[in-house]
Amino acid sequence: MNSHSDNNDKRPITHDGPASKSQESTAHSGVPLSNCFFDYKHVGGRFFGLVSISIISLLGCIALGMNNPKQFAFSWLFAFTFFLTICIGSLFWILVHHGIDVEWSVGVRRQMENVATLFPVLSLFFIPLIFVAPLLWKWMVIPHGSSHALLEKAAYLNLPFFWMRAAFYFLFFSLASLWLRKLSVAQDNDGDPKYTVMAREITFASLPFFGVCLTFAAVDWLMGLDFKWVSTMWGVYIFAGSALSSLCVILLIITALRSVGYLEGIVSERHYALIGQLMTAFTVFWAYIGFDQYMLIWYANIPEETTYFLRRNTESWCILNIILVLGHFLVPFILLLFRNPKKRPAYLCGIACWILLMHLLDIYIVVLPMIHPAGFHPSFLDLLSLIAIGTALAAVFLKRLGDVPLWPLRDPRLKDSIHIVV
Amino acid sequence: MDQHTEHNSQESPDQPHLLAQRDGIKRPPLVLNKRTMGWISSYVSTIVESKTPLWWYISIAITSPIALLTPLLICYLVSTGVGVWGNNSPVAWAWDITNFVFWIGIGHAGTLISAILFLTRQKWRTSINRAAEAMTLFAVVCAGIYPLFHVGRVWKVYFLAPVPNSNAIWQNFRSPLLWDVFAVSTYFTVSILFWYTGLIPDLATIRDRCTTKIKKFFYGILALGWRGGNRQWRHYEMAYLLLAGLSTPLVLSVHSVVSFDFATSVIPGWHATIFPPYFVAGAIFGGFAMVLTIMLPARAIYPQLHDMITPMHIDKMCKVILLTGSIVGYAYLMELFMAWYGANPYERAAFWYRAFGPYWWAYWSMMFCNVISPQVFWFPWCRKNIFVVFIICMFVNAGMWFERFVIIATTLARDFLPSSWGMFHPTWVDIFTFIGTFGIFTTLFLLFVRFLPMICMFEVKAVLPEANPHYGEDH
Amino acid sequence: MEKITKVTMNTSAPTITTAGPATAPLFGLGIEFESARDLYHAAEKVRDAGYKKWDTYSPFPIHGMDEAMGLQKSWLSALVFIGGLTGFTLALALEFGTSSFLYPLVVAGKPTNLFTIPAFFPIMFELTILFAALTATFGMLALNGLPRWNHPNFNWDRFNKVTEDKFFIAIESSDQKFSFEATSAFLNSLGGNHLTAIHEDSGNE
Repeated sequence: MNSHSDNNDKRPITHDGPASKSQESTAHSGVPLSNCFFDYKHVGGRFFGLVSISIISLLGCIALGMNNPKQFAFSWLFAFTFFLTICIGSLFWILVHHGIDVEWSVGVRRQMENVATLFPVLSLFFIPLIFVAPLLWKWMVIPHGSSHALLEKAAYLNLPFFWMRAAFYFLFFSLASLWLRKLSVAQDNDGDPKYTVMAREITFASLPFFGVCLTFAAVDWLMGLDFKWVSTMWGVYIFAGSALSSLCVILLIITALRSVGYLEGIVSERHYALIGQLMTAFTVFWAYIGFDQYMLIWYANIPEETTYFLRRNTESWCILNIILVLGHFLVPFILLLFRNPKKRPAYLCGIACWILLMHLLDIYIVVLPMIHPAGFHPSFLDLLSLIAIGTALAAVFLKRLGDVPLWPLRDPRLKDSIHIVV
Repeated sequence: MDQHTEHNSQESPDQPHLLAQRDGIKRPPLVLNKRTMGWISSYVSTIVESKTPLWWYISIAITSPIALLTPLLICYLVSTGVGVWGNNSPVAWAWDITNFVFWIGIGHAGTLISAILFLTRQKWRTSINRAAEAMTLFAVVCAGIYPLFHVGRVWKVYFLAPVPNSNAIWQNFRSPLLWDVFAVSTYFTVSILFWYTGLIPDLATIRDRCTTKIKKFFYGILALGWRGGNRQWRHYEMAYLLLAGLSTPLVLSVHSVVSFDFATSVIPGWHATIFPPYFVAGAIFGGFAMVLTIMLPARAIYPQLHDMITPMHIDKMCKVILLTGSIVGYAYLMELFMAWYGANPYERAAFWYRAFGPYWWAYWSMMFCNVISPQVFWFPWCRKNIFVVFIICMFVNAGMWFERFVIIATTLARDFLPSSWGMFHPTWVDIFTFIGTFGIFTTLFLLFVRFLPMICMFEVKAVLPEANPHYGEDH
Repeated sequence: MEKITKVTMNTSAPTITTAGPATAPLFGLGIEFESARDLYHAAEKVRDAGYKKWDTYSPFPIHGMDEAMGLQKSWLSALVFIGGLTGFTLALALEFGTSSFLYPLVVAGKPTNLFTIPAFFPIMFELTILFAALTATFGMLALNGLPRWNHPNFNWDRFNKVTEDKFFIAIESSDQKFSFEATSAFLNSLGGNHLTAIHEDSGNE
């Protein structure tokens, strides 16, 4: 319980590690301080590779999008939503960490912070959607008064309010994640517990906003694709996918860092086992939410509500939907039931990649059937948008990875996190 | 988890580790005053072993006649007909279903504390899980009475079991009401298994401490010959872990299935996809409030329980209430927003009637009790003040009843056709049957406090610092 | 019930108490410890000495004791998996068997083929959990040989404290490595106290 006693060396942290990279700092605390900075040599030339791939695919998107702006709009929204959910999920895990004072996640929290603080970059990728908005959200172009339903909800669905909301979501997500990361980094220098307390207070203040922003972003951008359709569960559904997929991303990041020799003694197999348990829980949670939403709409069979699932359960979409049920729930659930292999990073990483693939499919089925009611119709733009946003975010992530230590060096709970008992 | 402090004794007071000991960083011990294992056994067992106190006789003399009301009135109901209840057309589901959902909701906290907090390694659960599990069982007993007699001809209740009736027709397995039968009976069975499994080592403690032969015989039988060997603990711990793992989805499913009773329908105000998680959050919310409602008096009567049910425990439960109350608030607002946003006139009307119709008082009581009142738990001093906590818990208990009443009665009272609108008025039978269930609940709880260990002794011992096999050794 | 007997041995002769009827067959040797830590380290030594039929007794499960005793993981989970599968299959048979084959019932326009499965899912789930939970509880009791109300350990008066705050190790006489002298000397060297020879009930031969 006395991990804080080990944080009493106030030596500033520099890129060479704490003033003396000596054994004594390690020996004294039992928490290694050396090797806490990411060395850029692991990325090297690949960074420019990522940037150039991103630029090329962005140009490709523009070129193809000129010919088919509608396809571009939906493909881009699909790719954007995929990465948005991952960032939202990461922010959620930071909030959980501070909110209920979790021990085990101290060692991996910095990576959650690194992912969540991609929000400002992500908001840049929202800009293309501004130009194609009328192609996506049809209510924007319906002449005033020609749709009674739209007239009824005009107080919410109107252009100024819509853009104001979008700005607010990004503002909140960016501010909350940046602020929490800033406190976390500040603590690396002196280990003052006041940062932990402050982060907790910010978390409590953020939680209501987080719920509101997540829900209404999902309502505005995804449910709004068909402005007549409503489901009270929608925000929770998007949240369930976000929490699960971001966990997988965090898992892959820490595994990558460990494979090049970082986080040694910080993240152990016990942490993998815990992440594995959370993955199991959220796989079930996603299935629970998805099943409830589907079953209630299917069972009640009210025409204006079934439109959503009718479109996704007919033509070739039906096949994808069945794959989603089996692949997003059944396969990972069965694989995650086994306790022993769950401690093996490679096993968990395989499942994480699979879940991410399924999450991609999940978002795909949410967005793309809106323009291809006749069935699954893959477009090169789907892939290009995904690559453009993904590589850009990965490049920014790698660029910032070395700026700060790879884990919260002097968090008061770091020692507890390292010695966590599973 | 070791609390030894040898190597920092010589550090100066301005060191960060001392700053770290201020509120919020230092974790308070789970058991106060450095109690030993022997103290825990003897204190908890003494409650069971000592002479029955006077207050217990007085309390049970009050609660058992109240408890008798329910069976008496049920006899009256069965012999006369369901007409003695206030159920009418259009409010065919009235107080009976309201009370059913109310009690089954309360029955969720026990399994939640036992299972979910166990899986998430929240060690503070050990002091409260036994009482909460017992409360679960008693609440489910109270809940089960209502749907059983709501069927009308209770002697035909076996129609619900999967046997074909005289026309060779089987049950309708697509009916949410049949799902309910399976869910509630599974829940009751698994809760008993979980509770009893947890009791075995503690019953052995009482067996080994008993002085009289009769007690030794009965507790000995119940303890099944438990010896505390590690070869037993090994399977025992696995069984407990598995039961926790099974109960966690079960507890979510039970109230989800209850919510399906409403949400699978096409009735405006009932058909909302958010119902399942919203009901589950509400159940946890109401259940925790009920746990505090009964644990605070128990703590007042047995002052030394303060060392095991510490202010930290109360603080944490208040936070759970705040969180789940806010989730419930989210669901209320989401329902309202979607009712408006959906632009379905019937849906809009249903919510308009809820808030401003003849049952406005029920709606706003619910809003106040469930969403507004728990918000005081944002302030730490409110979570520390036992009286504030108790009052808020009473609000929540009432609020959760109002929630079910609002969902059921006010929705049904306004049918699609204004010509079939009606109001619900409870009869005296309704009222006293409901009061009787409180009698049943408290009587069973008093019996539990008297005859079974109220605190899970072996688990509390296991969270003591010296329970760690490496206690006192350096890492 | 307890008699103090001196066992003459070459070196420091341990004091051994006898529990149970001394004429009855010997069940094993037991020794008491004061803390979980002492028990843990003693268990490691017993494991390393190569005993197989022995057990540690404690008021609560001790973290890591399975490794200290050299025990495998409990395989109860395999039983529970089978139990759950049974419940699932039963529900599947019950629902599809009756509603799709014996008396196909169309309710609320729902199909009677495989696509009606969302409506069947809740009962499948509940029965899976029910059977798995029953298997977990009764499987645990069966694996532990419970209920068993009589056991030689209960002849040992001090053993009463196992459910309170004392810790014990007992090595059974049926162990291949067991020899009264060597085992008692070995147990005595572990640092516990109240070394006891536990006898079975006379009628229990």
